[in-house]
Amino acid sequence: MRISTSQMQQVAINSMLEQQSKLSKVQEQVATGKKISKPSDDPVAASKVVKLNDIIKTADQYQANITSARARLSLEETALADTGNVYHRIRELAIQANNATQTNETRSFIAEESEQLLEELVALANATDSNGEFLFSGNKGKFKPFAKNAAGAYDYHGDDGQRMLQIGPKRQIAINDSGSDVFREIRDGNGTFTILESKLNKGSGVADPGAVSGQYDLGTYAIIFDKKDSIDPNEPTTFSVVDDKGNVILPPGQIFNEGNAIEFQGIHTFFKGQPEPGDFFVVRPSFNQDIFTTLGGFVDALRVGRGSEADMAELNNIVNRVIVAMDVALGKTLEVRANVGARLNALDSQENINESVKVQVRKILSEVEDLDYAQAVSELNLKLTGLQASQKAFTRVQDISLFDYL
Amino acid sequence: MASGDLLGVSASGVVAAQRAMTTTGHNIANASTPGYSRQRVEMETQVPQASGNGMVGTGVLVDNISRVYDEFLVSELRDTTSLNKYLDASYRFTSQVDDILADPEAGLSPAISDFFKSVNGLANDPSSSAARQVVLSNSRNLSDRFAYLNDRFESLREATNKDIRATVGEVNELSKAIAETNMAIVRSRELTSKPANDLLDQRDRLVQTLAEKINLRTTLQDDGRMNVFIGNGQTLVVGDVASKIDAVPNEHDPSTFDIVFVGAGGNTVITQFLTGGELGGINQFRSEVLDPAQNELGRIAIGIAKTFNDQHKLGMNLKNLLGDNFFSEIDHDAPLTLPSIHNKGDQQIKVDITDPDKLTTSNYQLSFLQGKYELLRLEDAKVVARFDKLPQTVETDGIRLQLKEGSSIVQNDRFLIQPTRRAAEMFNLEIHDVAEIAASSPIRVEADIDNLGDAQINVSQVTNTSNETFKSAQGQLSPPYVVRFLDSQNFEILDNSGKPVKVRMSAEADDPAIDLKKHQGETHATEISETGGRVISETPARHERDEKLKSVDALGVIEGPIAYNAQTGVQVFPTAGGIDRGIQIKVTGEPKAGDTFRIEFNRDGTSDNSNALALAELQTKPALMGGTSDYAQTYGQLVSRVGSKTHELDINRQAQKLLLDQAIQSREEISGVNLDEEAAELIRYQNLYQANAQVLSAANQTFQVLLDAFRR
Repeated sequence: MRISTSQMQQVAINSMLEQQSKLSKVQEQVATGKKISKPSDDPVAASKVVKLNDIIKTADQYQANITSARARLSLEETALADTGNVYHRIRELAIQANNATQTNETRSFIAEESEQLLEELVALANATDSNGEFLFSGNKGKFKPFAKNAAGAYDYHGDDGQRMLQIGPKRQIAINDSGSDVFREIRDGNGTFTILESKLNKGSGVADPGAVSGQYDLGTYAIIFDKKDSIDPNEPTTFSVVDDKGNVILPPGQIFNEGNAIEFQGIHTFFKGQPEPGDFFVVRPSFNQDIFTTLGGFVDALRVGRGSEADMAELNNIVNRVIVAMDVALGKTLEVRANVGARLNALDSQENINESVKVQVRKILSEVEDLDYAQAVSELNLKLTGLQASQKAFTRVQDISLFDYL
Repeated sequence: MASGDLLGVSASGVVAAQRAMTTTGHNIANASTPGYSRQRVEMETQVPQASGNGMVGTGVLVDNISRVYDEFLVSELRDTTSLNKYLDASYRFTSQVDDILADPEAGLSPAISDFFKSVNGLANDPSSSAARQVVLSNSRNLSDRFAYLNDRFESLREATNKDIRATVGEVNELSKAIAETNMAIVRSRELTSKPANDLLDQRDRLVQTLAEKINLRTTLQDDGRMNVFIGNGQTLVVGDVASKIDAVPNEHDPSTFDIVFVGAGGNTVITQFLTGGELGGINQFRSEVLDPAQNELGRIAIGIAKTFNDQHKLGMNLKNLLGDNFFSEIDHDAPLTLPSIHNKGDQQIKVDITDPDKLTTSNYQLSFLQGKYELLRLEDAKVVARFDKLPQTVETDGIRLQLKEGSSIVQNDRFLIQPTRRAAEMFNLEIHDVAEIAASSPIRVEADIDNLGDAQINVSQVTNTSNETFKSAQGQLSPPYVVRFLDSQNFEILDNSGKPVKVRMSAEADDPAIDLKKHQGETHATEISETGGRVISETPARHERDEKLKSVDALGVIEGPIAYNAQTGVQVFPTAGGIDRGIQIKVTGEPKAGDTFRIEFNRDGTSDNSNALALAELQTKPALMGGTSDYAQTYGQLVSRVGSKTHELDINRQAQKLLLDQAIQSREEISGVNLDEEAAELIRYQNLYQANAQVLSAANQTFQVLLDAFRR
C-alpha cells in the first residue's frame, strides 16, 4: 500500500488526539467520581438519576413533614395528658364535695380550687404551638378557640377541621384534633341519657346517673313521685313514668324503695333518699355539653349556701352528674390520646419506611452514577501508556527520511 | 550517423530529466498542500528517424504532466466530507443543549422539586407567612429557571441563525470561485490542450469545501466545466455562471431563517432539501433537537401553570377569597399562530390549550384547502383534524382553535401554530402577596353539636369553584346548605341562606335543671303531678331542638328526601338528583332523626391545608403525556431524549469520521505525495540528467575530435 507522507503524519496525530480525548474523559470521571457527567454519556442512566434524585428529595420532604407532625402531635399529647390530670383532680374534689361532712365554707374552698382548675383547663384548651397557632381550634388556627362571653359561658371560635400532612407517597396523617371534638363533644349524663331533677323537688331524692339496660330509644321521660295518701307518713312512696307525649309508660302506683332499681325503656337507675310527692325527674338523651359549662355549673352549685335536705339533694344530684361527666370526659380524652399515640407510632413506622426507601434508592443511585475507582484508575493508566506509546512511535517514525541520506 | 543527432538525443534527455525534476520538486513543495494530487511526468520516445540501418532513435519526449487522480475517490471523499460536516454541526449544537440540560444546578428538576418542597412546607404550616414567602420565592426561582433555559435555547437559535448567514455567505463565495475556476480551466485547456492539473485540483478543493457547507451533486461538461447542483436540483454553478442562495426569515416565523435559492424566477425555499453539510446539520439540529426541546420545556411550563392554577382556584386564601391565577395564564396567552406572509385572506387565528395532558411538543400547520380547514401535525406529518368552521376543539391534541379577527380566508392560506414554543419564556408568577396563596379549602362542613347520632360529614374534594355557589358572593357560599336527617334513613338538603341555623353555643346551654324551673314554674309542676305530665314535652332541651327543627323547616328544600345508607354512607354533593355544585361531600356513620350538618364557606379557616396538600400532590400526579408522566419525569425524558440524540450523533459522527479517514486515506494512497518516493524520484531524475549530460559531453567531444581532425 502506498502511503503519503502527510497522511502518515495525520494518522499518527489523529491517534494521539483520540487517545487524549479518551484520557480526558477518564480523568474527568476520576475527578468527579461520577460515571456520567452529561446525559449523552448514558442517556438511560441519566434519566434514572433524575428520577432517583427526585425520589430521594420527596422522601426527604416526607421526613420533614414527619418531624413537623411529630412536634404538633407531641404538644397535643402533653396538653391532653394535663387535661386528664385536671379531670382526675376535679373528680376527686367532686367526691369530696358530696361528702355529708362538708359545710358551706369547706365547699366554697372546693369551689375555689375547682375554679382554678377550670381556668387551667381553659388555658390548656387554648394552648398554642411554636408558631403561635392554637392547637385546638381546628382550621381556624389564628382564632383563640375558647373565650368567655358576656354571659360567662365559653364560646368556641374554632371549627371541626383536621389538618392532614403527607408523610408517605400514599399516606396522610392528621396532626390535630379540634377543640370541639376534645372539649365540647362530651355527652352529658352517663353518655347515653341524663337524669335531671326538678328544681322544685322538696324531698331528698338523689338519682343515680343510671345505666343502659337493653335498648334506649332516645325518648324523654319523667319519673314522677307520689304517695297514695299524702297524710299518712307510713304510706309507701309511689312513682309513675310518662313520656313527653303524655303516654303513660309505668302507671301510677309503682312502689318506690330507696336503692331499688327502676327500669323502663332501656333505662336503669335507682334513687337514694326520700322523694316527696310531686317531686319529679326528667330522663332525656345525652346531649353534647362542653366541659367548661359542666365545670362552671359545678362551681356555681358549690357556692350556693345550702341548708335543707332538698338543697343537699340538689347538690348531690349535680355533683353526681359532675362525677359521671368527668368519667365521660376522661374517656374522651383517653380516646383522643390513644388516637394521637397511634398517629405518633404511625409516624415512627413511616419514618423507618421512608428511611429505608432512601437507603435503597441511594444504593441504586450509587450503582447507576458512581464510578468504580479501581477500574477507572487502571483505565487511566492504560490510556496514559497508550498515549505515550503513540507519541514515541510518532517521533521515531518522523525521524527517518530518505532526504537525510541525500 | 550524424553527431547532431546525438546532441539532439541527449539534449532531449536533459530537458526531460529537468522537467521531471521540476515536477518532483513541485510534488515535494506541495507535499502538505491540501487537495494536491501528485504529478507525474509521462515520457515517451520521440519519433525515430528512418535510416538505411533501420530506425534510429531521436531521444525522449515529455508527452504530458499528469496528476495521479481517481475521480471516484474524489467524489467519495466529497460525499463523506459533506456527511461528516453535517453530523459535526448537528453534534456541535446538540451537545450544547446536552450541556445545558446536564448541569444539575441549572436544570429544571431541582427547581421543580424545590418549588414543590416549599408547597409541602406550606401544607405543614398553611397560615405562616414565612412558609408562604418561601413558596413565592421558590416560584420565582422556577420561573427564572424556565426563563434561563429558554434564553439558552433562544441564544442557540440565534447562534444557528448567525451560522446560517455566515455559511450562506461562504457558499456564495465558493460558487463564484468555482465558476471562475471553470473559466480558467477551459482557457488553459484551450491554450495548451493539456489538462490544467493545479487548477483542477483547486476546483476539486473548492467543490469539496462547498460540500462541507451544503449537500451537492456535480456533473462534468465535455469541455471540462463542472456544474454544481444543490437542493432539489437547483443549479448553483453552471459553467462560468454562479447563482446565489440566501437566508431569509421564514414565511411564518421571522425568528427562523429559511435557505432560499435565488433564481431568475424568484426565491425557492430549499431548507427541507438540506441533508448534508453544515447547513443541513444546523437545519437538522433546529428541527429535531432545538424545536422539540424548547417545545417540551414549554409544555412542562404550560402543564405546571395550568394544573397549578386550576387547583389554586379551588382553594381559599388568607383574605377569605377564592384563589386566583398563581402563574400567568400561559395556556391561554402562550400559543402562537403565525399566518404566512403569502396569505390572501385576513383571518387571524387564536389557539388555546384545553388539556395539557394531551398536548404534544409538535408545531402544527393549519391550511385552508377546498373550503375546509386542515390541521397538520408537523412532527409526524399527520392530519389530525379537518373541519368547516371555527371555533374547533381538537380533543386528541388538547388544543382549541378560534377566530381572533378577520373574516376572509382563501384557498391555500396557511398558519403555523406553535402551541408551546413561547410558554417557558412567559411562565411568570401572578401572585405577589403572600396572603393570596390559596392553601385552604373554601368549604367547611360541620356536624351540629346537638346531633344525637355519630354520623360524620366530610369534604372529599372541591372540583369546581366557578359555579354560582361560589361566584355570586365573595367570601361566602350562596347558598350555604344544611343537611337534615328526617329519620335515620332519609335526609334532605336545605338552603341555609335565609336564616342560618346557629350552633348551639355554650351560653345557650344553661343547666337544664335551672331551665326546667324557669320554664315550667309551679303551676306546671302541679299539673304534672295531676295530669300525668303533659307539660314535660316542653323540657327545654327538647324544646330547643324542636325550635331548631322548625327554623330549619322554614328554609327552602333543595332536594329531598334522599335515602341514606349507614353501611356505605351517602354522597350529599353531587346530589342523588344530579345537582353538582363543584363539591364532593359525603356523610358516613349512623345519624339520628333531627341531626343536622352545615356546609358553609371556610371563613377564617386559614390553618386548613387541604388545598396546599392538593397542590403539593401535583408534583407526583401524572399530568402530562396522556397521563403517563409527571413534570419531573417529563423533564427527565427530555434530558434523556437529548442525551440519546447527542449520544447517537456522537457515535454516527465517529463512525463517519472513520469513513472520512478511510476516504482521505484512499485518496492519499493514490494522489498523496510520499517524500521518500519523491526523494527516490529525485535521485533517479538527477541520475538521468547526469547521464544525458554525459552523453551531451560525449557528443561534444566526438564532434571536437572531428573538428580537430580537420584543423590539421
